[in-house]
This record gives sequence, C-alpha cells and structure tokens, in this order.
Amino acid sequence: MSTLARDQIFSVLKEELLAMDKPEAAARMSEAAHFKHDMGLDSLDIVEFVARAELHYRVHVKDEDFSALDRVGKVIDYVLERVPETNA
Amino acid sequence: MRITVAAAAKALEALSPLLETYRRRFNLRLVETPGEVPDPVRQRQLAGGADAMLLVGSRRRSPRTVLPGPFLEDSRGRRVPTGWLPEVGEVPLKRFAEAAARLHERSTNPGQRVVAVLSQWNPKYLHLANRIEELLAADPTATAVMGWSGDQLTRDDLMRGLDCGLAAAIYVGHGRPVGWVGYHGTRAHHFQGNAGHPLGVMFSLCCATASRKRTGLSFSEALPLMGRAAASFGAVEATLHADNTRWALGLCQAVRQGGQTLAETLLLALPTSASAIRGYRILGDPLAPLAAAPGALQQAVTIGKYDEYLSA
Repeated sequence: MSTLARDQIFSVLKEELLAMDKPEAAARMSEAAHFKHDMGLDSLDIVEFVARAELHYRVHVKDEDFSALDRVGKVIDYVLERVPETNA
Repeated sequence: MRITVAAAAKALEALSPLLETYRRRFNLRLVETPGEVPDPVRQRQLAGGADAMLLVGSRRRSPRTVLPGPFLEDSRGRRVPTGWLPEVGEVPLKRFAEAAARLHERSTNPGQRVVAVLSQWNPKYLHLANRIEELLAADPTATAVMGWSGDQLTRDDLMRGLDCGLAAAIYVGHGRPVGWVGYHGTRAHHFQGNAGHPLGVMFSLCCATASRKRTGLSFSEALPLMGRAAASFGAVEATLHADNTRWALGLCQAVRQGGQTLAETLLLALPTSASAIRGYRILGDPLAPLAAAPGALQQAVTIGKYDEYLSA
C-alpha cells in the first residue's frame, strides 16, 4: 500500500472533520489518534465521521466492524482494504 | 418525469385529484391491477421506464411484504422510488390524493422551505436532532429549521406546528408500529381534527412506524391516508441507530443539495448500508414535493415552547 494513498485518505478524512465543524479534533488528528480519548469525539460524531467516509468512498462499514474502528488509522486501513488504490 | 400508478379501478377513481395533477405535470402511466397486488416480477416490469411509482392494493398486504424497500429495481438495475398505500376505502384515498395534489400546487409557488426537526426527550436523540438542525441550518436562505424536540414543546403544540404547511419533518427517537415514543406517545389519532396545511413529507427515522405488527394500519401509512402528509417514510422493522444516523446525515446533505421531491431526496441521501435501505418504505406520493406553504414560516415561529411559557 503506498504512503500516497494513505496520505490522501488522511487528508480527505481531515476535510470531513472540518466539514463537521470539528477543527479541534482535526488539529489533534493523527493515524494513531483515538477518536474519543485523543480527539474528543463522542459516539454521534464517530458515527457521522464514519458515515461521511462511507459516502465519500462508497464503502459500507458492517455493524460488527463499527466498534473496532476507534482510531483514524483503522478507518484508513478499512477504506484501503475495500477501495482499489487508484480510486483512493 | 415519468410516474406509474398501479391500482384497482375503484382506487384510481378515488385518486383522481392527484392523477389530474400528475397528468398536468408529469408523464403519467396508469395500470389497472384488479385483484391481488402485482407480484415482485410484475412490479419490476411496471417500474421499468418510470422515475417513480405509486402502488395501491389490498389492505391485507403490509408495507413490509408488498415491497422490498423504498425502491424497486428495474431490469437495468435502476432504482425507482416506489410508494405504497393500502386500499382502505374511497374516503381516505381521496383525502390523501387531495393533500398530495395540494402539495404539488404548492410547489409551483412555494414559500421558504421550512423543515421541522423532532426528537424524543432523550440525550442520545436530542444530540442527533441538534446535529441535524446544525446541518440543515448551514444555509439559512434555503431552509428554515424549526427545532421542535420533546424537551421544548408539548404534543399539542407540535400538532399545531405540523399543521403550518411545512415542507418536511424529521423525527428521531424510539418508534413503534402505532407511532412515536416521543412527546409522551404520539399516535395517528393525535393528528385527527387538524385541518390546516398538509405536510410535505414526514420522515420517521426510528424503528417500526411502517410495521403492521399488532396494529391494523401502521402510523406511517395512516398519516398520508389522513391527508396530514403527502408522503411518509418509515421503517418496517427494528432499525439500528447507526443506520438512522446515516439516513439523517444523508437527508441533510440531500436537502442542502436541493432535492425537490421525496424521490430525488432519497436517491441523493442513499446510505451505503443495504440494511439501512431495506428496512424503510415510502408510504404515499413518491414525488411529494418538499415545498412549504406560503406563510408557513411566519406561522411556525409562533408555535409556543416551554421556555416561552415560563418567561411569559
């Protein structure tokens, strides 16, 4: 997996956070950052964030996978596993 | 825009106020379906070439079993928004048809789009309702948002508010086949006696309001048949909060993108989750315009809230 694709997805996700009007969370965003503990997102914010990622990349996060996506890096991995690199 | 209406002759006669409007505005195809509701294969054939379809049939059929979801797929895999109504008699069908026709007339000269955000008094749902309000209010020139959650007004005031001729209302909270848990329990009969302007679309983003479990007619079916909304959108089963949130966010985005009708809005709002789509149905006019009555906003802002009563 190229670094470029990861960086692109990271940028897109950061833009989505800014579109959610969460500049503080966006400022604290890193691949290792935990949504709740590091970025201060609550459960609704996380659902919205993941839903925005779903819409952007047209992927569906299964309900059983939802709770495991607690860090930015895991969302990037999830997207990369399901979207061809050229489209990411 | 092409719409197909499939119903028995008697139902088509009751629907005539809406069919006349359809004829004037769209390319209308009428299909008489005597006897049973068309089977899934026939439904797909009927949906072919249409942009939307309204199916009316035996009241013994429930929204869950009669349609596979809010859309039918035609032979090319195109999604065709399809509404359902049970044939419960001439008067309710006529009431629906007249209300829906009024909405179409309204859409030719609409007031500012007014959308009400409704929520059960529960922190989880109030939080989601606040977020929906924020997203919809991002462009206040396009959409005026009424925040009418359960912590702010009584059910009676809510009923008055929903009578103002709003473009749409979005409810989040717990739901049951007979209605919403919010506002100390809201049932179809609470809408009775209101004779103001019909609502464009009632979105119930919660469990089961289109389910027939232990009820003769579901809440989501009753609203259009009472002439209180041109269409409603509700679930036929228990839903996941994550799926309802997906729909809520998608609907906000679709409204902001300028979705003019229920069909257009749903296609724009479409979540990626198949389970989120499958659980919902359209009841009533799939082409219901999201248009507010002239003066709706002026009326809506007069609806009393708890804090206003306290400060009076």
